[in-house]
Formats: sequence, C-alpha cells, structure tokens
Amino acid sequence: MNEQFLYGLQKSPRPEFSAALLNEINTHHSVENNHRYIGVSPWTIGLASVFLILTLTFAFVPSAQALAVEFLQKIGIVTFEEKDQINISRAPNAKGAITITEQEARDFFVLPFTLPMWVPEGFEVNPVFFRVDAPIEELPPVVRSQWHGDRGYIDLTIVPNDKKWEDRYKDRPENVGPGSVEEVDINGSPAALISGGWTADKIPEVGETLTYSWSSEPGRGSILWVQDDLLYTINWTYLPDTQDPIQNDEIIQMARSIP
Amino acid sequence: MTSTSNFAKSLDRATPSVDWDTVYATEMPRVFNFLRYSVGNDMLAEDLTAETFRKAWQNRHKYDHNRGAFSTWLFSIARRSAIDYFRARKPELPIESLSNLSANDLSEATIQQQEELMRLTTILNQYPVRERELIALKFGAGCSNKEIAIQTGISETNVSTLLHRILQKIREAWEVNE
Repeated sequence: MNEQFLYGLQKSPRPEFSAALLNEINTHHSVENNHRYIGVSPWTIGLASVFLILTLTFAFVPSAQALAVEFLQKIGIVTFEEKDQINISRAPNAKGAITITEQEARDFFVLPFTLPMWVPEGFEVNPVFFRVDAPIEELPPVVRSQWHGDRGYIDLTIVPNDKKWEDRYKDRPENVGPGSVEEVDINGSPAALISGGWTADKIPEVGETLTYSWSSEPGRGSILWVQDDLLYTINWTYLPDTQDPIQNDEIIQMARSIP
Repeated sequence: MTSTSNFAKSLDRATPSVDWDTVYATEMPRVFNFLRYSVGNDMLAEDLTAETFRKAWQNRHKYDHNRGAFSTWLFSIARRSAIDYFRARKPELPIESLSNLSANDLSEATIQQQEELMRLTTILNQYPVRERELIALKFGAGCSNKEIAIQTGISETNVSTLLHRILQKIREAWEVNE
C-alpha cells in the first residue's frame, strides 16, 4: 500500500449521474430565469467576456506620455489617456460565445495563430477554452485561451489586426492609471505592458455604471502587441490567497515564446 | 462543438471570469472522489456531490473571489456536506457499499477497487475527521498540499507532516488487516 495505490482508488463519476446533475441544475436555472432571478457576486469586471476583456484591455493603455503615444500608434488602433478614475457602464456579455477545441478554433479562425510554447510553472491550459465569439458581423473572430494555476489566471486573446478594430477604437480614447504602461519588445515588435487594472467595489449589473479606481497591486495586468497580422492580448490576475503573484517578467517570457 | 450550458451561462453572470463548463467538468469529479474517499460509498458520494453543487448553485451570489478560488469555495461546501453527514449518521462501517453496485459495475476490477476503498474507509473511520479529510482531499480530490493548506487553514508544512504520519498509520493498519 503506497501513495499510488491510494490515488488508484479514484474513479470517474457515472456519466448518467454527471449528466443528470447538470441537467437538474440547468432546469433549475430555467425556472429561476422565469422568475427574473439574477445572481450577483462581487467580481471585478476584467474578464467578463471577450468583448469586455478587449474593451477593458484597451482601456488600460495611456496616451499622456509622448513615448507611449508614439509606440502605441505603431500598434495602430487605439488612442490613450491617463486618468485616476473612470466610469464604466457594464456592457452585455458577448452573445453566442461557444466553447470549441483548439483544432476547431484553427479551422474557424480567419488567420493561422500560434500559442505560447512556455507558460509559468504550475499553470495548466483549460482544454476546451478556445472561443470564437459570434455574431461575426458585429465583432471580428476572437480566439481565447485561459491558463489557471494556484497563483491566478492568464488569459490570451487573439484577434485579426484589421480595419474593423481600427474603426472600432478610432476617436475613442481609452484609459489607464497614471504611469502604468511601459514599452517592451516582444519578438521584435513593440508591446504595451500595463501593470495593474481598474477596480470597483462590486460587480455591476449589466447596464449599470460604476466608478473605477486604478489598482497597481502586483499580479495583475495586460500586455498587447501585434504579430503576424494578429493582435495578441494577455491579461492576468492573481488569486487572493497567493503569496506569489504572477510577475510581469513571466508574462513577457510567455509572450515571447509565441513563435 | 459544445454549446455553453445554461448552468455556465447563468453562473457567468455572477462570476464572469470563470469558465463554468470547465469548472463543472473538472471540479465535479474531484468533489465526487473527495466525498467518495470520505464516506466510502459511491451512491452516497453521488448524493453528497449533488447536494454540494445544489448548494453552490443556490449560494453562487455569495461567492467572493477576493476570499479564494472558486474551487476552494466549492470544496468548503463539499467538506461541510461530509461533516454534516458524519454528524448525522450512526457510527457504522460502510459494509453496504457493494450492494449499491449495478450489474454493469460488477467487473472483477471494480469489485476489487470497491473492496479496497471500503477497507480504506474502514481504517479511516477510526481516525479523527481532520485526518480523514486530509486523505480524501489528497488522494480523492487530488489536491496539492498547498491547496489542502488553503482549504483547511493548516500550514503547507504541517499538511505534509500530517499526511506523512497518517499514511504511516494507514500502512500499519493495512498490514494488520492483511
């Protein structure tokens, strides 16, 4: 009798049980929806959906510094402004998001994309977390993958760097906290590295407007850059109990490992 | 191609940074095996797993990511379910487990595994709740020592030490029963 023996006593739940429990909860969900039940918990909004992620990601990058403006213009789709506080109205969650396999994402996506060859130790990819958000006529295709570990979550979003995105962000200044952005090099391209993120006291209802303050605490941030006609964005956030938040250098190494 | 379930869509609204379909797919088997190692009975473990997810569903708006990962919160509910079960039941050994297996389950390997699990839980039943819980978290749910430390409030070093001691006790008891 050893540890392997003890692990070996595990078994998979019966598929019928797994399906029945999920079905029961889903049925319960439908009933609650008929009663207009809306559950709310105090999450911050950074990762609510691909739509929300991209909106807030671009909101992280400032324009007040000439250097930032200069290199961000090379990325070419967003204007930026530094602020201490901002008001954000929560947009609806992305419609039609589906979970697909990596191969399906590759088949569906308009351009070939590559994923990091290296992620920080202890992080594992969610195996079915690739998403293409529909309807395509409203948003260009988006591929998203998430890694999770004891120290937090890392989210990678890939979109084509085409005119749709340029139009979308034209004349719309996006906001980040003072001094939170710096330029780094990712595989020969300038990248915006943003340390920190906007934080509110609660998670808003859809359509509700809240005032957000910039939080510079470690373990949270974004990086975006263009590579092979694709706009790559990595967002990361910490888990509250971690003593070892994700470091910017680890994210830079992860980004640079995309061939 | 898999559609996101109603469960996932609804929970998305309450806790938007969590992929709930993945949570269900990955955490439900862990919760099930944690409870299975705790109570030594598949059917009872299914009941307690269902109870855990029902409670999680009903109280999803109370989950606060500032206080820990979702899996930590989910396992706190599962642990409470196991503790409530042990408090409510009469002291007994899980000798009824085999009768809960369906005909399809009665392969030689399954029976042997079930017997070994029963034997393990029979041994564990003689230990304090905390020690049983540590074994169920470690080998049933497959938690790392760090995860167990977060779950139980014991330091990671102590978790390692305690597991080492408990394993030693189990080995000795196992050999005596052979």
